[in-house]
Amino acid sequence: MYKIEAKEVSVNYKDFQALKNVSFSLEGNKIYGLIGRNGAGKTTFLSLLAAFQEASAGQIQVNGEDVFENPEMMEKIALLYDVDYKDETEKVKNMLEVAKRYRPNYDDEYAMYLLERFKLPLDKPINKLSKGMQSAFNVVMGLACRTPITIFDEVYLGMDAPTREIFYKELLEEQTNRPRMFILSTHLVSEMDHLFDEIVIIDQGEMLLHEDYESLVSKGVSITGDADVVDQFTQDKEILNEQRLGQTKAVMVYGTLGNDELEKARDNGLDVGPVSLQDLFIHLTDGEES
Amino acid sequence: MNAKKVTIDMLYEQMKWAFIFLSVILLIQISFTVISLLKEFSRGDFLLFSYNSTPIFMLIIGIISAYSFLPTYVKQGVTRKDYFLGGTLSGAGVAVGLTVSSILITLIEHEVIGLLNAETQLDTWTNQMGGTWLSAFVFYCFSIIIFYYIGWLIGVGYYRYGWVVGFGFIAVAIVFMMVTDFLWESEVWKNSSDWLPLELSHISVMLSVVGSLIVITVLLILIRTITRRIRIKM
Repeated sequence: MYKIEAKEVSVNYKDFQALKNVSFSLEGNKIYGLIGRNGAGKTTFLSLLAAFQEASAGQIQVNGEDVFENPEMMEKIALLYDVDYKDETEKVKNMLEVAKRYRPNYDDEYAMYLLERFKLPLDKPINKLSKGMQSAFNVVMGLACRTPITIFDEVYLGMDAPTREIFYKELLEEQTNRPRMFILSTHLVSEMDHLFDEIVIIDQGEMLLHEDYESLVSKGVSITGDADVVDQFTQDKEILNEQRLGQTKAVMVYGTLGNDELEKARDNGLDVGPVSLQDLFIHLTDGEES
Repeated sequence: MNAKKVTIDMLYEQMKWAFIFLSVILLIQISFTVISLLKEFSRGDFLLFSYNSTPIFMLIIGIISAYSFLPTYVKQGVTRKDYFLGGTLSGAGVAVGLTVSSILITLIEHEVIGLLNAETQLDTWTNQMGGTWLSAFVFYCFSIIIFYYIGWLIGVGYYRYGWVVGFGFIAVAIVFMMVTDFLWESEVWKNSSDWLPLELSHISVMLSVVGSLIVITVLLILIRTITRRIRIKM
């Protein structure tokens, strides 16, 4: 089991601070969802974990050891992202060969299974693959390396919906069979929320929250019913989102309902349900999702 | 140990390119030989001929080392240090490989020309470089190894600092090339000896070797300093 700990990590670029004093700890074989708006610092944060760069200040450790330039740790962490492959003339199989040589847990058989699953050719140069296939290749690489810490940074970009479904399915399957720590950063919150055990939200270079999925989505409730009744019921509450269809209205509210409120809602013929992670995310990062 | 693996892998990859390069040069040399036999003009042997292009080849694969191998390996969890060691050793390995191959081809060339009793005059590299195969080997090998490291320096400079500062690295590289040429008394030295107020054209091979080792050390220190904490572009 692996534990990642970040202590007061900052990253400064020339004239702006991408991460400001971020501290957190991630532990165990879970799937973490890392969400944040464009430019929130997700990629910077992930590139630190994978030792692609060094923090300007603070410490990133895995199991108590610094990650940067640490051969034991670096070989255990893989970061897959939306790579620009336009100049990559290497064939799929050769790219996998490199992974096979440098990743101790790489599984060839599993890689071949995944290639077939995503219908990827072994003998084609990467730059001749479609965008979606290149993304699928990154997924294959990340899954087949079986690194104890595997990071997918918006790796689904360019994949069509059916391919993304395969990705989600294979990811969950792998997590059931060979559990490890996955960190997935995404914009597709509503589509991927079912994958996450825990959620980390980064906003404007700062850690906004880190909670398990269940307790996070229980921070809000959706109330559905007759529009007038819903309006009256929610008038003094913090509204995340509302939708109306004819006389029926659904309102997402931030905060929990007490027992008497729940009873009151039921008496008024209102349906009370969970809120979506997407709505919470938009509310918490204060604005429309881009 | 990843450094060993990186050395072997980089050496294998670069030797593949070197093989293609040598094959092309060899074909050109064979064509020249045939033409020279027909038209009766003098020309250099393979070692002399290949030295026109081998340094440039080494410079280019040095540059490529930064752009292709560095990100590839770090993304697979290899440390910058292991990459540096692998690059250093594989560069030297390619230089030795190319030199040995070129010398072998040249020996065969002389044999064949002798067997054919061909009426052709070969300018030889060995004559120009002290007269022995050993001195030829040392000269050839050291010159091209330095070119590889110079290319590598340009590559990592561009990779880290972008193209504006990258130009500065080209300037630095030219200085290193001049020093190397000076050490081994080739074109630049011959040209600059007209205006340099020094009479140094008889530097011994030993001095050249020591000077080259110093140049190599300085180059490697620069490359390591630039790549020690280099950010991998995403």
